[in-house]
Amino acid sequence: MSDAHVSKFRQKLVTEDRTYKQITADVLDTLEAPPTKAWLIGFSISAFFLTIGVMVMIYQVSTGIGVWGLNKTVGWSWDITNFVFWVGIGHAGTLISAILLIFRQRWRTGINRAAEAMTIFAVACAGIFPLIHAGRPWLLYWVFPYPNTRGALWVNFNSPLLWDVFAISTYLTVSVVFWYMGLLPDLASVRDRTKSKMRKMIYGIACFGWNGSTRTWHHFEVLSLVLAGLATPLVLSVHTIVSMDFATSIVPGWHTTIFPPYFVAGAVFSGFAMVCTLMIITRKVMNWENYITVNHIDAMCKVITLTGSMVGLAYGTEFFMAWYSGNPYEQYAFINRAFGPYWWAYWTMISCNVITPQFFWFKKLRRNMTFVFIVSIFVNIGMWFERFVIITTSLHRDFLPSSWVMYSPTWVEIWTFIGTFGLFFTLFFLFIRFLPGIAVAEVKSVYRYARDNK
Amino acid sequence: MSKIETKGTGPADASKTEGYWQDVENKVLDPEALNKEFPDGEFDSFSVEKSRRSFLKIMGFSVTALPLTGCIKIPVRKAIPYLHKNDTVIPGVANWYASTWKGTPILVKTREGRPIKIEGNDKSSVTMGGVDSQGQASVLSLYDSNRFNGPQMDSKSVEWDQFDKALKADIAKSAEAGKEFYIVTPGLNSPSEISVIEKFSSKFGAKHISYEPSSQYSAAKANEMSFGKLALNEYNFKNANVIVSFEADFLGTWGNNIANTKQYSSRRNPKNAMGMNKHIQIEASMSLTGSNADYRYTRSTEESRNILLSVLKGITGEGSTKVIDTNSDVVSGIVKELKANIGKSLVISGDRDIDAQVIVNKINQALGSYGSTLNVANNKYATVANDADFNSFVTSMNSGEVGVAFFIGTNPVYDYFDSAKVTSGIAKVATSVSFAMSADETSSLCKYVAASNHNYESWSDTQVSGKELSFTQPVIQALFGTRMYPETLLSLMDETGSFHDYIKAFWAKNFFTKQSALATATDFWNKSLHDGVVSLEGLSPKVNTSSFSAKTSASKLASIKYGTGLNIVTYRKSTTKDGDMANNPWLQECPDPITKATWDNYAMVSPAYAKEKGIKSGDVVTVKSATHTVTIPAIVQPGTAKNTIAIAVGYGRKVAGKVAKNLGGNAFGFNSFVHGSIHNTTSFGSITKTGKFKGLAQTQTHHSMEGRDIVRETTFAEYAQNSKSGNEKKAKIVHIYPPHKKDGHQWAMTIDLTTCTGCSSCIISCNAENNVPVVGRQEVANRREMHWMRLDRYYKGDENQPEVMHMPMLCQHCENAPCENVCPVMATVHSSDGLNQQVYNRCVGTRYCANNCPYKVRRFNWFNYDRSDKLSNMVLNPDVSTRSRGIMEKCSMCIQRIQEGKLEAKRERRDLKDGDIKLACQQSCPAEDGIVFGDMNDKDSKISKHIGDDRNYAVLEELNVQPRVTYMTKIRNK
Repeated sequence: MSDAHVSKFRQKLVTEDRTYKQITADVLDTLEAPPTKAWLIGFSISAFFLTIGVMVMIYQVSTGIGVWGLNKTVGWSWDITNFVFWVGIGHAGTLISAILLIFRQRWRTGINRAAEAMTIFAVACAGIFPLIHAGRPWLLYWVFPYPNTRGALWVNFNSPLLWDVFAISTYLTVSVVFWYMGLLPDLASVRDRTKSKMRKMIYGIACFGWNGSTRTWHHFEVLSLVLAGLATPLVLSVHTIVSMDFATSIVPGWHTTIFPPYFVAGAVFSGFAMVCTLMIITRKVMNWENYITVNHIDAMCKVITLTGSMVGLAYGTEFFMAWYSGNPYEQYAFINRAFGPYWWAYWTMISCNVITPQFFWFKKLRRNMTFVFIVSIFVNIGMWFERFVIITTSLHRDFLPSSWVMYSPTWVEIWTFIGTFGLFFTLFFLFIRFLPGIAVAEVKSVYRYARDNK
Repeated sequence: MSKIETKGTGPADASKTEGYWQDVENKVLDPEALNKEFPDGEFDSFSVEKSRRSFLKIMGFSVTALPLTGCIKIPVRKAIPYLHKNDTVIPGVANWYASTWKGTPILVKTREGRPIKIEGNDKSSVTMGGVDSQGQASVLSLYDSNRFNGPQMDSKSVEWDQFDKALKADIAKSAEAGKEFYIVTPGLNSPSEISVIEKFSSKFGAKHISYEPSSQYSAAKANEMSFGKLALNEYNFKNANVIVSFEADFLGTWGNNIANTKQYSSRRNPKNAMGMNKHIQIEASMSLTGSNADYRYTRSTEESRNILLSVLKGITGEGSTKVIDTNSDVVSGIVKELKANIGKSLVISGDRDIDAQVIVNKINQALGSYGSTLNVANNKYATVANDADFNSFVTSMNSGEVGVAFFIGTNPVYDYFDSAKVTSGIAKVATSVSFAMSADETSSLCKYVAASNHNYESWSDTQVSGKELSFTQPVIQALFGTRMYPETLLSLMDETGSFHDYIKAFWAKNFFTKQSALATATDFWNKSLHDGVVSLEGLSPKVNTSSFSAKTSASKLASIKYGTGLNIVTYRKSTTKDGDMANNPWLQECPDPITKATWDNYAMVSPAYAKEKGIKSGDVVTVKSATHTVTIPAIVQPGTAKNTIAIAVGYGRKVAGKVAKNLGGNAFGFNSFVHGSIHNTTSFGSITKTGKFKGLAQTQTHHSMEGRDIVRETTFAEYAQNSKSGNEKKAKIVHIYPPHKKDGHQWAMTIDLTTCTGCSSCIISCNAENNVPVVGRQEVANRREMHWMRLDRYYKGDENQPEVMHMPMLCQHCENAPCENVCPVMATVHSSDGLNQQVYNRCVGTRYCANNCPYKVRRFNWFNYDRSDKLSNMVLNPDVSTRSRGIMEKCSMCIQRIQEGKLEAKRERRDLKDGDIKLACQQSCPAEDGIVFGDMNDKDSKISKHIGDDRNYAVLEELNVQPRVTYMTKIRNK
C-alpha cells in the first residue's frame, strides 16, 4: 500500500490485504445475513443443553440440595468446583482487554471483543453456582449489606463468602461496562449499514447515538484507558478473593498462603485455554482467519505455557510446604490427594496442567491449530480437576477420621454442569449473531501495523 | 448471674397484683401463683413513661406500623382453648411423672398433656437416674400409628363388650372339653400383675409360663441346681476389683445393663478410693462390653468354655483342664487375678448353657463373691422366663392338648427358634389370644387380639431389686381403644373395678404394712406414686449359697460335641435388642455402638476369614445352618473369632409396622434347644456369597485414628505414677487477639472417655430432646444422618483382638469457632455465656460452616424430612423448633434447658446452683460422670474440677479453636 519502510521483524496483525470497507464487511455482514445452518445447529444444541440444565436446577431448588451427592463431611464439591472453574475462565477477557491495553499490546484487538464476551458469559455461568448451592437460595439476598428492617442483623464482613459477593459483582459490572463501552463504535457501524428501520432504531439506541466525532473518539479513548486502569487490579483481586474462600479456612489442603497467586495464575491459564478453544473454532467458522491469526494463537500459547508452569510450581510448593510445615493433617491431605482414593483426579490434573502446556515450547506445535485445540481442551479439563482436587479431596478426609467419607456426584450435579455449558454457548452463539464479534474499529486502528506503520 | 436475671424490680411489685384474678372461672386462683406466673420485671418494658414525647413516639410507630401489618401474611393457627383449664397444666411448663420402663425407674416429661421425653429417676438406688437407648426411645413407640385401634376377633374390629363375651364363652367351651389353658408372659416382676395372673389362673385353671427369646434361664436354672432357688442373680459391680466375663454383654444387653453400667463405671474412675476395676472379657464377637474391657480375648464359644473349665480347675481343683496351648496364658492370668481378689471379684457368663452357669456359680462361690459382688436375687415378685416350660408348651400345643392360649406381650411366632412349630401349634389351639400393642407375627395368627395399652398408658408396679419397688402410672389417656392386659383379665373374671383400684388395694394390703413412715394408706400411695420408687425391706428372702459340687456340670460341659463348619452365633444389639421395638425409627437409626451400622442386621465375619474367602463389608451372603437360612449383607468386624459368624436377632420382622417390616433377616432360627435351655451358639453351618452387594448404612467407615492425637489414653499403672500420663502433650498456643470476655455464666462440658461405655443412650436422648429428624436408611448410607451427638469408635492394634475407643462427639462450642467467621450472614454466632449458637431463621445454607468445622459436627437439612405422621409429631419438644430444608443445625447445648434452669432459679430468687441444669445427653448417661456440664466460672462446680484435672484435654487443641467441650483421658487398667 505504501512505500514506507517496514521492519522485517514486524508481523502483520491482519494477515491479508484488505480495504477498510472490506474489514467492516468481513465482520458485520454476518449480522445482516440470515443465520447459517452451522449457526442454527450449534445454537439449537446449546439451547437444548441449557433447557435441560434449567429443568435440573428447578428440580434441585424445589426439592433440596439432597438431590446432589454431598454429605455431612463434603459440603461443597461439584457446585463450587464449577463456580471456580467458570470464574477462572472469566479471567482471560479482562486480562486481554485491560492489561494488554495498558501494555499497548496491539495484537489484542483481534480477539479482545470475543474474549471479553466470553468473560461475561463465564462469570454468568459461575454466578449460578453460589446461588443454587445455597440451602435456601430465595433468601440469598441477605448477603447484600442493604438497610433492612431486621434490627441489628447485618452481613458478616469477616466471611470470605461475602468478599466473594463483592468481588464477583464488581468484576461482572466492570467487565460488562468495559465490554459494552468498547462495542459502541461498532454498534454505530451496524446502525449505519443496516437497511431495516427496526434494526436501525435498536442499534441506534444501543450505541448511545455515537456520532464518530473527534470529541467522541477522544472520550472513548480516555474512558477505555480509565476503565482499563480500574479493571487491571480486578484481574488479580477476583481470583485472589475466590482463593480466600479456601485459604482463610482451617481445612488442611485449603489453609495455605500460596493460594492467591496460585489461583490467579491458574485462572489466567484456564482463561487463555478457553479463549484458544473458542477462537480456533470461531476463526474457522466465521472466516476470520485474517483477523484472529495464527500469531494470536501463538502468543496465547506462550501465556498458557508461562501460567501453566506457574501452576506447576505452585503444586510443587504446596507439597514442599506440607512436608516442611510438619503439620500432620496437611501432610496427610497432600499424600491423600496424590495417593488416596481420588488419585486419578490428581494425576489427571497434573498431566493436563503441568505436562501438556510444555509442548508449547515448540513453535511448530504452537502454530498447529489442531494441536493447540486439543491441548486447550486438556487444559480446561485439567483446571476443572484442579478445583475438584482442592475442594473435594481436602474435605473428604480432614481432621477426625471418624467423619471420613467418599463423594460422588449424582446425575443432577452432572446435568447442572452440562447445563452451564449450554448457557455459555447459547450466549456465545447469540453474541456472534447479533453483535460484532471482532472489534472492527480497533482492528482498523492496527490494520496498518507492519504495513506502513503510521 | 448474667444481666437479664437481675433485672427484676423486686417483691414490691408483686404485692400490687394481689387479689387480681384472671377470669370468672379462675376467680379463686391462688394469688400467690398468679404473682409467680411471670418472673417479676420481665414485662416492665411494656409500661411506658407517659409523656408527650413518648406518646408521639408510640403514635408515630403505630400509625406507620398499622398499614404494614396488612402486607404480612399471618398463618392461620387453630388453637382450641381449654373450656375449663386443668389447674395442673400450665401451657409452656412441663409436668413430670414418675413411672417405670421395663424395670427402669424413670420420669416422664409431659407438655400440655403429651409425654415427650423420658429421663431416669435419680431417686432409684438401682439405676440412679440412668436410662438406656430403648428407654429413651420408648416414648416414640407410644405414638406409633401402627398400633391397634381396639380389640379384634378373627381380624375384625369389635367392641370390648362383644370381645369379652365371646372370649368368655370360648374359655368355658375349652374347659368343658377338658383342654389346657396357658398364659404366656415375659418374665414378670410386677407384684400386682403377678397377683392378677395368679388369681386368674386359679379361677380358670390356667398355667402361667414365662417366655423370653433371650432369657437368662440358664443362670436361673443353675442357681436352682446350685442353691435350690430358680432365680436370677443381682450383681454389685461396685465391689468387684476384677470382673471376668464370658460372653456376657452386661453393659449393653445382659441383665440390668443400666445398673451394671452405673456400678461398673464408678469403679472405672481412677480416683475411686477402692481403685480401678480390672475387666477381662472373653467373647467370640465384639460386644459393647468387650469393647470396654481392659483385656479382651477373641475366642470361639468352644475355646471360651474350655477356658471356663480351666479356670474352674485352677480355682477349685474340680473338673478337668481342657485347654489348647494358646490359651494357657489367658487362664493362668485370670486365675492369678481372681485368687488375688478373693471376695472382691466377679465371674459372669452370658452362656445359655446351664452347666456353664453352674460352673460360674461354683467359681464365684469358691471365690467368696456371694454377698459381696453378687447374690441370688430371690425376688418375691418375679417370674423367670423359662425355656423348658415354653418348649413343653409348644409340644403341648402341637399335640392338641391346649384349648386356650394367651400370649401376653410375647411374640413367639417371630422370636422362638422353631417358629414353624409355634405356628402349627397355634393353628391347633381353638382359642388363641394375643395381647399386643400392634400387629405382630403372633397376633396375626391368633383368633383374638386384646389390643394392649402402651406402658405409658398403663398402671403397674415393678420390683426393681431386693429392696426397691417402682410405680408405673399412665401419663396420657389411652390414645386408641386399647386396654391394659390386667384389666382384660379382671374383666374376664367378672371383677368390677379397674386395675387402678386393684393395684391400690394390693399396695395397701401388701406394702403399706411393711413401712412405718407414713400413717395412712392414701399418704403412702400418694408419696410412692409421686416419688416413683419405694424402698422396702423383706422383698427378697436370702438364699443360702453354701458350697456345692460342679463336677457333673464340668464333665457335661467338657463332653459337648461341636459341629463342623462355621459357628453361627446370635447376639442382640443394644438398640433393637429382641426386635419388639423394631418399629421405632429412633432405635433403627441409632448406630450400633460397635459396627456403627444402622437400619440392618448383618453377618459379622472376622477379618481373617473375610480375607481368606474374599468377603467384603456389604457383600450379600447366605448364612446357612442345618435348620435355618438367612440372606443378609456381611460386615467384616474386627474382634470376631475366625470360625464364628455373629448375627443380631431382632430383625427380619414379617408382620410389623412400616419401619420394621422386612428390615434384615430373622436370625432367631439359628438358636436351638439343647441341654434343657435355648442356646444361641449351637448352630454350625456355612456362608456363601450371593454375588450381590448391599452397602451398609454406616455412620462411620474409617476406623483408625491414623496415629492422630484424638483419643488420649494411658494405663492405670502409668496414671498412678503420673496423673498427667498420656496427656503430657500440650499445644503451644499463641494469641494475637486479646482473650474473650468471660463474665457471668460460662458453660462448659467434659466427657470422661474412661467411664463412657459407648452405649449410645445419649444419642437417642438428644434426638428426643431436640427434635432431631430421622432420615432413613438410604440417607444414612448417603452419609447424611442428622444426629447432633455421635459416638466415634476407633480401633487400635491387632484386628483380631483390637483395642476399642469410644468418643462422644458433638459441637465443641469453640471459643474461636471456625464456623462463625465464615458465615456470610452471621447465622452462627457466639453467645455471651460461651455457646456457639445456630440461628435457624437466618441461615441461608451455604454449608461453609460445616466445611470449616474441624470436628464435622454440623448437620445440614438436605431435604424437608418427613413429618407427615401427625401422631408421631406429638413427641416433638415444643421448646425446640423443627428445622426446614436448607438449614444447618447442630448441638445447642440444650439451650432450652439452660434457659429453663435460669428462669427457675430466677423465679425462686436464688443463684443458679451447680447441677441445676442437666443436658439431655448428660441426664441419660448411665455412666457415672460420663458427661459433666456446668458453669466454669463457678470455681466449686464439678465442671471446674474436671477442667482442672490432669486428665483433661481438648481434641485438636493445636488448632486454637479453644473448645468448651473437653475430654478426660481414657485409662485402661493394665
